[in-house]
Amino acid sequence: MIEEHPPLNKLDEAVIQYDKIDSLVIGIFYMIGCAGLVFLVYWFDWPIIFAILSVLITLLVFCVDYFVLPYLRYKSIRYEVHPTYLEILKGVFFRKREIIPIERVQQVSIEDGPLSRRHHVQIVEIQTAGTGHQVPLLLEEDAQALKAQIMDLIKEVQSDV
Amino acid sequence: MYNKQRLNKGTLFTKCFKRMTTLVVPLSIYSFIGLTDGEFLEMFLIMLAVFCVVLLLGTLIDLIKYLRTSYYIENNRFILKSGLFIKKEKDIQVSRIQSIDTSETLAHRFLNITKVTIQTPGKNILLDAISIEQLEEITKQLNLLNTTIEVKNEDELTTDALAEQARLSKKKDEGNLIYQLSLIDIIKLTVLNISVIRSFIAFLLAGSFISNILIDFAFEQTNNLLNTSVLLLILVILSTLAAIYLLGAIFVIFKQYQFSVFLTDKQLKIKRGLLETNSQTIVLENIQSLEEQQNWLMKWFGYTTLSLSIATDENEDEDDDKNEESGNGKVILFPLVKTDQLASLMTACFPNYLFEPADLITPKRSIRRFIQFRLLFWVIATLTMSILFWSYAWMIGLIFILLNLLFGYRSQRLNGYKLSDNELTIQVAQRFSVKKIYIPRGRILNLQIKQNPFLKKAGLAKAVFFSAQGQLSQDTELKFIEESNAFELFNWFKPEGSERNEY
Repeated sequence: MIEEHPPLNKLDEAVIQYDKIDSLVIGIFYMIGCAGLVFLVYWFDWPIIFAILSVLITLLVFCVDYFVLPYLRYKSIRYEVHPTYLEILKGVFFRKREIIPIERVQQVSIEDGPLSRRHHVQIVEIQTAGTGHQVPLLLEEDAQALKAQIMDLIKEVQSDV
Repeated sequence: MYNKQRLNKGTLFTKCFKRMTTLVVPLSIYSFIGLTDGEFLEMFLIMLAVFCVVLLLGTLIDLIKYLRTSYYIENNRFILKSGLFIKKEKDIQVSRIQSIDTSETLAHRFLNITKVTIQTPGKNILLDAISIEQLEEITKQLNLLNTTIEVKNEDELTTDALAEQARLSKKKDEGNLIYQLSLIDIIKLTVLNISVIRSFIAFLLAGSFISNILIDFAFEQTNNLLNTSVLLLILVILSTLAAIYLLGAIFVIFKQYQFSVFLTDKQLKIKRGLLETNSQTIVLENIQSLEEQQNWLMKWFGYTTLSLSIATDENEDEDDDKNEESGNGKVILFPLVKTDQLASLMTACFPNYLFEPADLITPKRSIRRFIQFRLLFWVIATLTMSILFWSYAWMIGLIFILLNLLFGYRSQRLNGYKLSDNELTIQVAQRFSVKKIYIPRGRILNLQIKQNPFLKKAGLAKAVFFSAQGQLSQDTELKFIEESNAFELFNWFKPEGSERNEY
C-alpha cells in the first residue's frame, strides 16, 4: 500500500554510476579495516577463522554495496512537489513515505562533495522548525529545479514556525 | 533613543553566589574524603584554597563580562552587547517582543534586583541582573514602541514597603488565576510522581547489585559478615530511601511553591518558587501541542498532568540561566490536577481545541511486535548475568520480562488516535504511563509512514508525527497499526488545496 500512487519524480539512471563509485570508495575503507583485523589476527596469534570471516564478510558487504544497492537505491527513491506539500518515498528495505507541508519548510539547501560534484550529483536538504529531510542522488539540474520549485512555493506562504 | 546601560553591579554577587553554591558540595565531598585518610584538615585547607582560586578567577571573568556588557534601544531594536573576548551583539525587533519575564534567585532578592528575559517567538535576550528602576525604564521604553507587550504593572515594582500590597494586587493584574498548587498538592505530587518511585527501584536494584555482586567479588572474606547483618543492610537501604525521598520532596516544594497559572486573552502566565521565584509567559497562539500524561499511580488516585510544547529558536545566552522546563520547549502547565477537573481547565485555556478521546485501534496481532526484540534482549541479558555473575539475576530479569510483556499488552490496548477536521489526538502507552497528545493540523511539521517487508506482509505500518518543541521537534509514533489506518492518517494530513491521491 505504501507503494500505491507513488510520487511521480524518479531519479535519473545516470546516478547509479556515481552511487557505485561512492560504494567503491567506501569499500576501500572496509578493506583497510579488514586488513587491520587480519594483521591483528596474525600479530596476536588469534584463530585464523577470524581473519577468514572478516575477509568474507568484507567481500560480501562490498559486493552487495557495489552491485546490488545502487540499483535498489535508484529504484527506491521517489519525490514530488505538490502545490502545498512535498512528498518523498525512500528506503530500500525500511520504506518511508513522508509529507512535508510547504508552509512548514524553513530552509532548502543543496549539498555536494568532491566526488558527487564530478558526477554532477547533489543532495537537496529541506529543513523545517526541528526536522530535516533529504532527497539524495539528484542530478544537478534536478536538484536545482527541486530547490527552485520549493522556494517559489515558500514565497507564497507565511508561517511563524 | 535609550542610552547605553550596564547591568546592575549586583550581577557580580549573583554569579559569585551561584558559583559558590555549585562548588561547595563537590569540594566538601572531596575534602571529607580526607577524613578516611586521617588528613581532614590538610585536605580541607587544600580544597579551601582551590575553592578560593576558582571563585576569584570566576569573579574576574564575571567582572570583565560585566564591563563589556551593555544594552540599549535603537531604531526599534533592543540591542545587547556582551562577550568575554569576542564581542557579541544580539538584537531583537521591539515589535516582535511578546513578553518580559522576570525571575529572582535568593541573591537577587537579597539585593532587590531581578533577572529579566525578553522573549520573542525566536531569540530571547537575558539580562542577568538589573535594578527595579532599570526594569521600569526598559518596560516604559518598550511599551512606548510596542503597545502589545505584556509587562508587569509598575505598582509591583516599587519599593519594599509596597511589595506586599503589590503582591496582593498582582493576581488581578496578571489575569484570572485558574490553577494553583497548595502545599498539600505539592506533597501529593512528590508521592504520585512515578519518577521518584523509579529512582527508588533503580537505587534498590543498584543497592542489591552492589551488595550482592561487587562486594562479593571484591571482599569475599566479608561474606559472613554481610550475611549476619542483613537486617542492618535493609535498615540502611530503607533509611537512605527515606532520605532520598525527603530531599526530593523538599526540592519539589522549593521549586513548585505557590505554583500558579494565570490566564489572559492571549497569554498564560506561570509563577512558582519559594527561594528562587520564576515567572514564565506563554503566548497561546504559539503553543504547538498539548500533552496529558497519567501514570498508573495518578490514575489510581484520579489525578493527571498536562504540559504544552512551544517552539524556540535558541536557548538563552547562558545554559545555566535558561528556564529548566522551557529549555527543551516543554512546559508543565498543570503538574497535578484532578482528572474530572482537567476538561474544564483545558477548555477554558484552549477553547479552539476539541480534545476528542482517541479510538483504540491497534490490532491484537501487534502485541508480539511490541515486545519481541526487547524480550529477546532481556532473556539474553538475564541468562548471561545469571550464568556469569550472579545466580539470582534471573529474578530481576524476570521482573523486566514481565514488565515488558505488560507493556506490549498495554500498547495494544491503549494506543490509538482520533481525527477531527483540524486536530489530531494520539494516545500512546508508555511503560508506566499513558500519554495523550493533541496537535492542531497546522502545527504538524511532517508525517512519516513506515513499513518493512515483514510489516507489509502482516498488513501493518507505523505512523510518526513531528511537531515543533524547543529548538528541535517531538515525534509521536503510532506503531504497528493497520495499514488502512496509517493511510487514513496520511490522507488526512495532506494539506488542503492540493490534488489528493486517495488510497
